[in-house]
Amino acid sequence: MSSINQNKRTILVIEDDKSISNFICTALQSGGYIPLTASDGEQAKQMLASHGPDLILLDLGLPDMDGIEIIKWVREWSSVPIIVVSARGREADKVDALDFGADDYITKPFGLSELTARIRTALRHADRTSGSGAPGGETVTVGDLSIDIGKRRVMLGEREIRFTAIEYKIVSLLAKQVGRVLTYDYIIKEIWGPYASSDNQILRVNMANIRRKLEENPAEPKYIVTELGVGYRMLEK
Amino acid sequence: MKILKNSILSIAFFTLAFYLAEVLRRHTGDENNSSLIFIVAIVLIARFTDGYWYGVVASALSVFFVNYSFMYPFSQFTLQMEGYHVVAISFFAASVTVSAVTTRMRKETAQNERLYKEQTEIKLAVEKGMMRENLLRAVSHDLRTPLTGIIGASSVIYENHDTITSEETAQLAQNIITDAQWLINMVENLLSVTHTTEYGAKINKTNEIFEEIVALPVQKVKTRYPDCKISVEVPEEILLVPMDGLLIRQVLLNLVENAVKHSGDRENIVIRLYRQDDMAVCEVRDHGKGIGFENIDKLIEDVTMNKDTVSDATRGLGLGLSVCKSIIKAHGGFLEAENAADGDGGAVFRFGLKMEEIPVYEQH
Repeated sequence: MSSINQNKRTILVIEDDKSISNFICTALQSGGYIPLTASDGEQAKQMLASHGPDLILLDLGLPDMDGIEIIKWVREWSSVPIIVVSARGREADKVDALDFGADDYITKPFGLSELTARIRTALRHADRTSGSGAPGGETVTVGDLSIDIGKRRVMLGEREIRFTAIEYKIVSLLAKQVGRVLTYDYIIKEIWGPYASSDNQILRVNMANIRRKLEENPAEPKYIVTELGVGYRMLEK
Repeated sequence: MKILKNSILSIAFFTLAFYLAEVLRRHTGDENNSSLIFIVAIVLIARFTDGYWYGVVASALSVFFVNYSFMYPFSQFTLQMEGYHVVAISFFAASVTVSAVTTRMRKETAQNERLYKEQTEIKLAVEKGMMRENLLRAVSHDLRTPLTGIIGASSVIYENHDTITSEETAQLAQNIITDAQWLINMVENLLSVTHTTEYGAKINKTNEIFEEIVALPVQKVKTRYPDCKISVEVPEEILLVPMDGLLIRQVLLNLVENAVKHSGDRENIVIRLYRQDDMAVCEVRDHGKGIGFENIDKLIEDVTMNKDTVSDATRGLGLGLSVCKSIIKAHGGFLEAENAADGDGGAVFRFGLKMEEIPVYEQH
């Protein structure tokens, strides 16, 4: 590789539709990334093995294999961030993809700003986990909200918010992975243990209570948003 | 199979009657009214078996057994008693008649039920057909305009890219984005409808927190129309509602977008969630020009039927409302529209869904 490209990140776009792949690549290029493309699963595997990209943008509907297969295959040997591209109404696919190790997803049709924001978040997470150690006693700050994980304290501006133990666990779990969507199942297992029922109602009710303490208006959340049918995400800002 | 069932039923009723008559005889001796018990058994047999003959056979057997077992002299069939012929024949005639009448009554009831079912089915089919027709009409009207816009703008960019300014290109691209957003909303609507009408029974209900469906539609509309002001009011109580969240979100998106585009008010649109008895209700209220129709059906009919007089300004309105209606209907909820009653003007669109009580969870 030439020295000009030293600081640029490579992104493998796995997408069988030419015009979608075209517009994504043009956008990535002008955003300062180096795009690579693969139009089916086999080609994608070759590219992955030979180029070792910094991020994968994966359309789940490929002509020769299920996109989930690619995720499983990659996760056997790499933790490279994977962003899944999927259609609305295929919420179950998204949940599967996340549970099998995808980092995030984006719903078709999407705008450019949405895509680049997701890419930035995923790359930053990858840097953080591979770099200077895991987020231990840090403080996560989002807007007026700050969550001191070491002291188990949540402040909204000058005011301290009092959560129940369960509520705090949920908030800090989301804060530790701020920007990422966490599936209902994942959160339930983390909070209530591996044998908890997968009925997510108790989580949903807890979240409604959290929002009543945290958000100015629980219907227009600024900090924790619902990804309907998938899970929750703490926004990064 | 049927004969077996009918025979078993008949024998069961008959044996029961026989047993009761025997009990009665032990208490009252010679003068018992066992024939009445057998009449009741015959009525029951005629009511619960198919056909007339089980009743008739039971009648004949009754005459015999009443005589043989429950009339003096017992355990003996006798025609010696004075006037017994008349009693026996009357008893037999009465039994047969009762059996016949009961059988006919049962048949008529069954027929009426079938007739009612058929009528309901026809009514439903007609309604479904009309809904689909309305939709098609709305769609064909709504699809053409944005597509024309997209093809026009993109071909201008493609063919004249070396002569138009970059500002002009940007403006045209902006138009394409707007039109494409229109189309995608329409496609989402159509997808929602195929979910609700084709597979009516299959909508996938899960318990959702009502307020969680509001955020995305509001955010979408605010992004598309940055100048409009929308406020949301949520009750302190958490409302848990079984629904297909994606579909209900589509309903809300349509109602809010309609309010922004068609009411003439972008300053004060209010979404309010509240509980009314066992229903969770969502209200979208604008402060615009109001609606000129007494109910939502008339409104939908008007915006979808009068396609010639409908301007491009109302594009999407008919489809959006038809979709709302079919989604809410598939959920077994209600959808209504009226002019606001508080004198401030504007329209209120309101839908309600049956809600679920929240179990009390242990707090640690």
